[in-house]
Amino acid sequence: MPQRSVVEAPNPLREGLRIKHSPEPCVMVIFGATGDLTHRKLLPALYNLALETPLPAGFSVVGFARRPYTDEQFREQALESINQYSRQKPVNPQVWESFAAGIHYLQSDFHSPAGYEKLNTLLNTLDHERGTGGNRIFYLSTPPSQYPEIIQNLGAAGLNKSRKGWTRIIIEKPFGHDLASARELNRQVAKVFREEQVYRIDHYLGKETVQNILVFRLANGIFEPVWNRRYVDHVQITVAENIGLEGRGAYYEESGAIRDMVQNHVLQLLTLVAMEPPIAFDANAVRDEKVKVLHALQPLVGQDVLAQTIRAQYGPGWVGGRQVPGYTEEPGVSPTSTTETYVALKVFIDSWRWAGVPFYLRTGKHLPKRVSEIAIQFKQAPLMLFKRSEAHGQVEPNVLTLRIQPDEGISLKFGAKVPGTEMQIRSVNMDFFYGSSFFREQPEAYERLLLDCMLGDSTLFTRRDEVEAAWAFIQGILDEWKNEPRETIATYESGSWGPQVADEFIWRDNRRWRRP
Amino acid sequence: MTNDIARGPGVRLPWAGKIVNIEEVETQLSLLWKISADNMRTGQNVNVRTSVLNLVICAPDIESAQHASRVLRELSSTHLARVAILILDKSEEQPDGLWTWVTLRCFSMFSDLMRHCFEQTTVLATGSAIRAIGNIMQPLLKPDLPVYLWWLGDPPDIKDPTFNNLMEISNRVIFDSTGFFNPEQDIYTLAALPDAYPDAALSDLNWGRITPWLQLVAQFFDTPEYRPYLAGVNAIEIEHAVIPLMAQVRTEQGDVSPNPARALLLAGWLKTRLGWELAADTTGNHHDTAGGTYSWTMERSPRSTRLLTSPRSKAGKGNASISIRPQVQAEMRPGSICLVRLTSNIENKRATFTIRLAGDTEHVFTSVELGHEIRSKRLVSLTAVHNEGELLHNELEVLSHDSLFEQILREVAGLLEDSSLRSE
Repeated sequence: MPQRSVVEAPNPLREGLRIKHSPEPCVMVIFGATGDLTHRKLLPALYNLALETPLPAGFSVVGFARRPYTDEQFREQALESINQYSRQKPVNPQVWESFAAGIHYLQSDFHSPAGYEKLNTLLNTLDHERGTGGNRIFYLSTPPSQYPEIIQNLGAAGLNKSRKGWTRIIIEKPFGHDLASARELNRQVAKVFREEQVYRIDHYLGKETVQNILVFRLANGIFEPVWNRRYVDHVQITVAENIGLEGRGAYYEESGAIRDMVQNHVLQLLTLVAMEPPIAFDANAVRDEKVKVLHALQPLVGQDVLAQTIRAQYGPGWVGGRQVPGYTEEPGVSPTSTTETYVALKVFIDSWRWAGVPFYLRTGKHLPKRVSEIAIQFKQAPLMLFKRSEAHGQVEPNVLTLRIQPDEGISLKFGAKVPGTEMQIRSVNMDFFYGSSFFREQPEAYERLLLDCMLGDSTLFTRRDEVEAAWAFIQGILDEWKNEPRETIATYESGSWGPQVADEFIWRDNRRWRRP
Repeated sequence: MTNDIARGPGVRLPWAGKIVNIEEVETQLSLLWKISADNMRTGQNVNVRTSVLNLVICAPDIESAQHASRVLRELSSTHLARVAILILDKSEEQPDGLWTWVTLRCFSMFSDLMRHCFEQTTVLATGSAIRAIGNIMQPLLKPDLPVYLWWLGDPPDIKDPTFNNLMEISNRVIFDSTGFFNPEQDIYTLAALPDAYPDAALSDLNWGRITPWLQLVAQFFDTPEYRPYLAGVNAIEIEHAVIPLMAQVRTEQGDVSPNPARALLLAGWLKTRLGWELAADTTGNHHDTAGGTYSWTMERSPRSTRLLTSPRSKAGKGNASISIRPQVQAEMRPGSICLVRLTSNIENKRATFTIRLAGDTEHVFTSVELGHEIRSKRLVSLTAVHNEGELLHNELEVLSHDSLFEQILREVAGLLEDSSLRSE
């Protein structure tokens, strides 16, 4: 066998090819492969990658879980899931045939060393038979309580490093329950894997529109000059859900909106909007700037928490044309629960760019519609020339809205003269819709993220310090909330935009919540 | 000139819409949008108007123009704003003439409630109007949007004034070498275009057709175990489909047989990537234009490759060969690739990497043999794009020069020139 070089040069046959990013052959081992995430998201995403992006012919999947399935049974389930959840249907039989040939299943408990030995043997066999080259991705799709055990066993079995090739690990959110547990989990991961092997997933970062935030800001020269405190009045970030618990009462009781949404998705959106342009578009340069934003957040402690946060629970009401119960009436929820299903925050970033600009963040369940957006409201024109005319009072501030979902796109509100003999001004929206400008169907977030992991690009994954900085900010709020009486938790009618106190909260600043 | 050009409904093109005077195109299009919006209010459809690109289709006759118009239906996922179909009727007996039709074409997207619409102008030019077509086109283009020129048929002479006028306003020109009647001469012409028109990028739909083959070849050497054999490749064999007739022929679908264009592009790509040069001794070279058979002796040089970073690489100098030959396939489109085989030898260890069709155009067998041992053999879906609309869509997505493709064209032209195939 010819000697291999220590440092492998990139495959020269790929240079200049217009083919989309094609990763090296690898095996993805999914721990918890019989769970919901695998069937609703991961397998359909991998199938769509096989369909649209030339995944290498040798790409393989190993499901690792407790239930006693054979390879064939697992493949049948995979086909069912893909038929149900793939964004492209029906399943292409030829592509499926090729894809399914690489799907395997291994039954084992997560704590059994023998299971990991069997896994090692299987992976070596796949290297030989399917040419996966020693490249591995371990995906932890299990309850977080099982992460430490799996990670430790991977280390003990020597699976954390490959004799040849690379090894990576993807860890799903939630990454920790609070700052202490996040740090502990990071510590345990770091005992077994190097940081560059670790991919902490926040699927929001895989959304096309979230990625477009940076493109919009940094690929166009006209926006950065006004993207600061001199021109921006305030920023509103809304992540609204119209669904309730969907049967996850037990999990949500321990989590609440601030852990479920704010600590990860909402703060991620905040960092992308508020960060400084990176010195390069590589994983660490981008994440360095995001971490700086988190470190620059004014901590909320003590009385600040009471003044700058609102938490609430949904009560009964109507959502989407049907009556829904209140939170404490949901299965798995204690009737005396103090878990919040709605959070509103006012935060400040202590930086030259953003000093004094409030960022209003809100998220909640059983709100009227599912919508995620970032709205940047600009200051009014310094001189209102039209105050003597009927236009006065009708001139609204400019608002740039980045719509994450649905109706993905960007709109800019500005004032225009209404045709006629009088000087009448109305606000109009200049819209860009993803769906009608680029008719190509947008890939699912998981497709982008899984492919990036295979390619070794961690830009869209969360770094260790990023996770801990986000938790550090949230921890101050959690600590104060523990001391506050139950009466500080407001209620809101399901189907409304939140509690009255949340409206008063922003009215005090002479502003109002947007109606997305 | 305007007063001299014949007008009036001399030609009927029902598929092209309403006949108008060319000065009225914008007004008529606005009217069509207004009518469409009225229909929207009553029919509750949502019309979506985009502004992303202009597509200019240059057709030599009405039949090919109509074919192109049909292909546009398949571009439902491309963000056309305006299409101009130019029919340049160069028949000698035609007087000077200019006829224009406009229509608004709408297709359902995602659901019946939303329709993507784009504007289509069809211009039939005869006589001296042809020479001025570039200027005639100018006001018909949507401002500030890139112009993609899809040239149907064989490439014209580089000095052709009509082509020159159109290239000056175009950001990209797209050909399809699968229909070239003189593939070798026409590829030679294409290869000269980037230097002649450096501001316009160049595309060939055939390059998109062979992309899955390039991908499969590249994938062999993604595997670290096989990478060293890339430096040892000393023989490339490519087979292309021909229909079972001795003489050159154009099929009903417009394909030419034999047409080794795809095979030549694939060979050029491998030659470039492997850093091979034509051997000084050309006596072993062979070409048979009529039959679509070629072979060249090449020289390998370790300095010209970057395949291994290890100084211990034993891939040394030596000769290599490229062979292209036809494979009779009555059921396949002529020019389709049927087989690619790379043979390698490193330290007296032989390896063969083969991709060959598995009985249909959608699947191939890929296999790796090390010595006499078959290490892996797989049936793989080719995921090839055959549909002309999809191929065109892919080219419309590319904004800049495809440097690799332009380089490959020059390499192929070099191979053909060496074979003294270029006609004077």
